[in-house]
Amino acid sequence: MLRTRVGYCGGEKREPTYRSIGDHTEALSIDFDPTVLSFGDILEIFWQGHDFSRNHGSRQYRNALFFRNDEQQEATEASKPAGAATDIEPVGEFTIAEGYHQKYYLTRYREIRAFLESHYPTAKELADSAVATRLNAYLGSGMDRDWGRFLDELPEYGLPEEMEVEVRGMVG
Amino acid sequence: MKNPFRTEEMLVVEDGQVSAKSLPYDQRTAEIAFETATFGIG
Repeated sequence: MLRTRVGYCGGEKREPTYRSIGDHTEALSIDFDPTVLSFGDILEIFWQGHDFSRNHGSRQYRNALFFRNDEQQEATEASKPAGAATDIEPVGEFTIAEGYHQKYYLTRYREIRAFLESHYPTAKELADSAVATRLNAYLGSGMDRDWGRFLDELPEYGLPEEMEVEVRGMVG
Repeated sequence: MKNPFRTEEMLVVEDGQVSAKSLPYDQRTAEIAFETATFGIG
C-alpha cells in the first residue's frame, strides 16, 4: 500500500463537504503497487473487514466498493459473497475530504503533524504523502505492524533528527 | 468561480496525480506505478 485518502463519492451533489455531503458516501481510497499487492488481495480484506450481510440506512455511511474500471467491477462482482448487501458502483468523482480528516490518528502527535503540514499544507498534498500515510498507520492505528520494516524505512522519511529519535523511542 | 461567502476549506477531486514530493520517501514512491481502490465501509 502506498497512500490513502478519505473523501466523498458515489453521489450527484456538486462540491460535497463534510457539513454538506448531500447524497455522497464517506469513502477511503487506497493507492497500491499492483506488483506487490493485487486488487484481489484488497477485495479479500474488504469482504472480511465489514458486515456485508446488511447495509447502512444512510448513503453517508453505507458499505460500498466504488470500482474504477471494468476489471475492478468484474473482480468485485465475482468475489461478492452470496446475498451481500454491499453496493458495487462506479467511483465517479472522488472529492478529497478536508485536511483535518486526513491522517486523523496523527492528530495525537502535534509536532509530527505540524512538520508534515509544513511540507504539505493542503488536504490533497497531505493525503498524497506516503510518509504521512505510514506514520498514521504505524503510530496511530494500534494494529499489528512490521516494526522492523518501519524502522528500516524511517531514515528515508526525512524527519528532523530529533523527531526521528523520538519516533524510534515510541516503537521501542 | 470561488464563492466569496464560503469560508470553509476548498476541496479538490482526485486527479490520479501524486502531489506530495517534498520528502525523500515521497519522492521515490511517487514514481511507482499504482492503481487505486475505493470503498465505503460505514
